Amino acid sequence: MQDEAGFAVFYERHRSWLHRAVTATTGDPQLAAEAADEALVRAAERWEQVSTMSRPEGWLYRVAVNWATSWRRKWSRRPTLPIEALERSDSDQHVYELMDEVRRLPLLQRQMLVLRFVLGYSVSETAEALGIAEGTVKSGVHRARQQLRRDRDGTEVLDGRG
Amino acid sequence: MDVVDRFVEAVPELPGPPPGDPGTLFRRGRRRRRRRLAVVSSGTAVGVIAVVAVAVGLLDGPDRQVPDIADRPAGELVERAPDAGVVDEHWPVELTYVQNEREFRFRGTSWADWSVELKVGQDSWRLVDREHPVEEYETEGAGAFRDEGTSSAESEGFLRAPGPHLIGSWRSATGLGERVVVELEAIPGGVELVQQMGLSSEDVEAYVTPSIAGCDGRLPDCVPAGQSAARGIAHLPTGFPLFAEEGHDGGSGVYLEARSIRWADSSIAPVPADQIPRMSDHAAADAERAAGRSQLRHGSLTDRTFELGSDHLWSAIGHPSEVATRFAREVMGWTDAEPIDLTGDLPERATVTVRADGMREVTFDLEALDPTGERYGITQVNSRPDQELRIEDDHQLRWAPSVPHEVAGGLALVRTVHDGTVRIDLDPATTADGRVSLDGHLTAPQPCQDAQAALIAILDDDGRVIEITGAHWNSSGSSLCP
Repeated sequence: MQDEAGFAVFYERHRSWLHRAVTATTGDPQLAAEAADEALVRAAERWEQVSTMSRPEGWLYRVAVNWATSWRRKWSRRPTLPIEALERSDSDQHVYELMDEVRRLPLLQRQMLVLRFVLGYSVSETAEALGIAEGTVKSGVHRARQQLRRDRDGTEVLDGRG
Repeated sequence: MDVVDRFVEAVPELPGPPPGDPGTLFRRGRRRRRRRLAVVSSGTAVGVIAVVAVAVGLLDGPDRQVPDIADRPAGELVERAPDAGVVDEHWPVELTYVQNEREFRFRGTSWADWSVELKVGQDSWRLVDREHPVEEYETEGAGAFRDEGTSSAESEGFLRAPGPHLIGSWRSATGLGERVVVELEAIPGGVELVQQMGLSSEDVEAYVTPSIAGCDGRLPDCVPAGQSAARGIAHLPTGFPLFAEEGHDGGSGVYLEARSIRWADSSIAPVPADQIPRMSDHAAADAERAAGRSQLRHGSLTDRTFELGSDHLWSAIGHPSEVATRFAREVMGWTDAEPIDLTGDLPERATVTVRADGMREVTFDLEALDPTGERYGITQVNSRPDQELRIEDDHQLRWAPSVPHEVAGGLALVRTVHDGTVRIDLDPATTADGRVSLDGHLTAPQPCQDAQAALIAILDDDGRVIEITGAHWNSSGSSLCP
């Protein structure tokens, strides 16, 4: 019971941000909800280890994104509810526009942005979480930022001009 | 405010998750754990521990029961193939197989001595995984390993099966506790696959999930509405997987298909890790990159640099020269394209010049976009120096046929249309520096909205591709989708 109570606290602390972070990464809130719950189930499965982590956010996020992308790969025809289909108010418009732009980035760059800036991981922590080199994180973040700026400017509808 | 700051501020404004129950999730997780530990305590062979754990860990969707496989001889056919990883008397084994369009080679003499390599060139392999005992099971005699490669393994030393590329998908696809044995002929193409490897039907065992037993048609046609099912073929003497296909209502996918298998041959041995360059060899990659850049500056065919969009993705596997060649052949339509110059032979980044009969040479700059080398970004660094490019009002651009549409890492790359033709109404304009700016409307393949970027091939009057360009759209509006 003590473990279950501890897990309930863990769940309340992490489920909401995890869902939003995966939504920002995949653009699919429905899939994100399933992925977040799957990551939390795996946390419960390994509760003795997870409960001792000082910063379990990166692990949760990575498990959830891996699961979500694996699911999407396997079941590419599975109907999903894209973020655009959600009811939105005019005031939310800028959020969805920005998410739309982020979703065009390569998956790895999206993960870098979430880990580095949403979760506040350092470059080395981000690199470790993603299993890549620090230089790759730096260049990836730089590229992502450049791409988002270009999209924000909205000047390049057609790329690669001859 | 910087765009990244805006992103950080926007994430909390996204909708929250639906209501949930932590107790339910906790109990589900603990059930999984109990099943895993029960297998351990029952003395079942250690390989099964890993297999079950991975099967449970990878199985998607509903929480599934995983009964003892020994209790499940189905129908009149009794399962004979041992579980891969359970028996060790049949080693050594070398199995080459394709998974997710990548070719792997598994070599091992025991579960304490094996390796998995990814094919990165004609005769070149790169180590992606090798034995590495996990502390939890080390004292049990090994059998469970941490994924030391660059796949999407969970971190923190959590359990992975031996060779996750090999075992995990097969087990999760075939459904460890839900399979029945069928005749090989019940799996379309199964007999041919086995014969190609020099085996006979006596050497293998075929399985299907119970719901499709008796159906020998295409898997999507066999799967009951709203359900999923799978088929698999295992090598009888070793238990290694040779084929796995998983299907659901309306679709299916092959997750593992063997190319060859050898066993009981003492010459087979896993490759020592220190003999193969790892993806983590970034210092070497940087040096190669610098060398490649240098050559580009001095060796370019033109003083005009043309970049192929931004981050156009080409999902291809293999040595960079193979990727560039495939790109030239399949997208540009240069059927006889061959690589003639390669700078940087590491999988991370390379510069490859490709030549085709009657065509100018084209140099590509390739960069692996993920650490597995699974996907490359291709930039065309020189293009169309002097070619006469005729652009007319009703210019019609032909798309390279037979290249599938694919979503890659959030950036969709359209490489074909249903009829192999894309029509673009161009509104050409010449810029001040003499370049031609392309703008206009693309009659894009459906579903158009699935594609966030497109490659556009520009042909000359003879129908040859003389330039590849790209297009994407942003939230302010697209000229590509109607």
